[in-house]
Amino acid sequence: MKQFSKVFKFEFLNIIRSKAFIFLTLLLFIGTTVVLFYPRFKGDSKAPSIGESEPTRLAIVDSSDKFGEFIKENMPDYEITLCKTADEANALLKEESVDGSVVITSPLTYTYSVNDMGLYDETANVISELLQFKYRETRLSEFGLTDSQIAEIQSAVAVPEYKIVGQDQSQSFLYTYILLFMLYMSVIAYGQMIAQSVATEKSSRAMELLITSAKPDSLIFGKVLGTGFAGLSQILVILLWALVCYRINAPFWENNFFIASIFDMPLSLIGYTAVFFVLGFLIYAFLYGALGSLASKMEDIGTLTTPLTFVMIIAFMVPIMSISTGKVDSAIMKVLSFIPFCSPMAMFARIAMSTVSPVHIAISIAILILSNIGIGYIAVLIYRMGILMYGKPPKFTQVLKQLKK
Amino acid sequence: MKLSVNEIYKSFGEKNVLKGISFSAESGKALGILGRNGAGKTTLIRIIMQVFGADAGTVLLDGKPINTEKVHIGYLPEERGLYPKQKIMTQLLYFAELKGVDKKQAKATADKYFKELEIEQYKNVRLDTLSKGNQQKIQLIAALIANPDIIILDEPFSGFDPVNAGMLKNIVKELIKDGKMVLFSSHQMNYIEEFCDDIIILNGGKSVLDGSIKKIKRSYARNVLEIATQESEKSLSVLQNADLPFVNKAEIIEGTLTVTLKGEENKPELIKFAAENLPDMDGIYIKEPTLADIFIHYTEGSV
Repeated sequence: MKQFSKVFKFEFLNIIRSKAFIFLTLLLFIGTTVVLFYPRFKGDSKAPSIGESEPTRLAIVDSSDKFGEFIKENMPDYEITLCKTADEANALLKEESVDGSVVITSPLTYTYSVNDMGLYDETANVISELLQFKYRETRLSEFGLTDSQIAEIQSAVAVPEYKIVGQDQSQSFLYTYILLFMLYMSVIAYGQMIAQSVATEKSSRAMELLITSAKPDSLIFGKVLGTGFAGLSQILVILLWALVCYRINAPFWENNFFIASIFDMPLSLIGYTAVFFVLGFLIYAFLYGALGSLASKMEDIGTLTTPLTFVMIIAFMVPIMSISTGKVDSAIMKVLSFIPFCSPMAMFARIAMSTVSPVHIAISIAILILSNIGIGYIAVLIYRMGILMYGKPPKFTQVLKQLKK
Repeated sequence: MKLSVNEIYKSFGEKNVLKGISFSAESGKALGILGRNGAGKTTLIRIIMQVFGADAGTVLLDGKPINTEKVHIGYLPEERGLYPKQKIMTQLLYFAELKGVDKKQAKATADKYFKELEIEQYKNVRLDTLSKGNQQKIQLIAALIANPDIIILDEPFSGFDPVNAGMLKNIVKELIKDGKMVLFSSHQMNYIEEFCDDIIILNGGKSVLDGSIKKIKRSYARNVLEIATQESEKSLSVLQNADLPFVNKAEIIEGTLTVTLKGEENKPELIKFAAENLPDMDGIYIKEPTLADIFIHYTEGSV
């Protein structure tokens, strides 16, 4: 225990004194400050937007002469040219004096030609909407309705009233996304750091002195927990700073739903964040430490840790895709919520964005704690064997064989 | 204190590295552990230091199983290694603290050796800014910082120039004088002979020879004599022409006239003959085997 605390302290101080750590912390610090203070200096409460875009230029061919002017009136954001023939419009499109052309062939059919279809191209939707409007207006007047009756029907809109019993996913999406991403980044970054640090001790042969001075259990636990603690303190400091910045600038953020939603995170979720973050981090960190001990040179680390990094990427990608599509409670997410390497992200995403029974949460956490103990034990075994082994890194099957002994 | 290693066996997988090694060492003395590369020296050292256990056999200190948490063992590994990017004093104190030594005490010990090794100016710089010889000195301090009772030095002189080697020699002599137990592994036989009263030679996982160097040398036949003379060539022809019945062979080895007798008992006859017949003779000495000769004799051909 005494040795453990010495190793823990040494590793912790090593990291927080390292240039990379200080630089990254400063960068995050500055980034958070700039983003959260931005509206105060911009002077209004709008979120920063990426410049004004130029209006879309559109050529419209309407042989019936019924729709052209109507569309032009109702699409003020567009720069509209009315053409006589389709050939004329095509020529304009070809020489790129317009971005797209619409050839209306009947009251409800038209061809929309465009050079490059944008990701958020709404043109066709708007045109369809307008043509449908015009069509209904014509038909309704044919049925003998008065203009005011028609106007009433056309302007009728159904207004929903939301009553959310569980979680509002639009509320919780952003902070869930951010927290998942933070866990992912810290496992990848600090996990690699642990693996490298173990491998450096081996390649510089400092290990020769370490193993004759301390127990391997103290060495790996001290390193994993010391590094993890450094990473957690960094995240905690940045989050607290972000909260302070937000509070100072709260009035300027009032109208920004997204940013405000991050800081309206329910308190219970902070508890879950801590539990899943710590357990999720440790289970990977133990294995990164163990894998680092199998490397004799720094170059070996990549090959050794790639499989684990892949597991991490899958454990990250599935929840991210699920929350992006809104299907947090899909069958695969439910299964992943109970699998140790995935549950820190999958279960956390479900707790944050839907309603999960407390029993399931308890089971998931219990499995994760037990797995942490198991993986910690296995990591010590691999580490003990690995640190005395030099030369080519062993194959996975060889490691298993050795462990059996 | 008395360290006794009894019948140690150790194998890694199919490979039997140690096959029944026994020896003992005492405080205030240095024991030389010799063996060709791969003879199992490092494995033996690691077992003594409890890095891993032996398959069979015991390591006892004063009759009780050794406990590295109670008795400090200082170790200078053959594969030198410390943290290259760490400040020197920081890492030295870290290693001392890992062994459970008080920080202040460790600092005092370190300061003493920094002074003795004339590297006081490097206390707070990074290790990798030092020359190889100076890094070696830091490695030595790391071995001694816990003020250990048992000190294991594996090739301590490699990489040292003669001046630094002299400093190290003084420290080792001082340690022995202070009643420390020194286990000394080296391929530089002259250093072994200088410090060690006793040696053990490992070969093929067994100890093929152990005991005091003097006794071992005595045990060799004392029938080879070296004749010191300025006239080696002339003397050789005199001896050959005389065709003495008790002389097996007379030859010049590396410039020295060397005579092999039929038996030890023929020494007086040769001395008498030489005194009377050889021109300008300075003296006659028994040719003892060097430690290198003994080492080669016991380890040649197999590992």
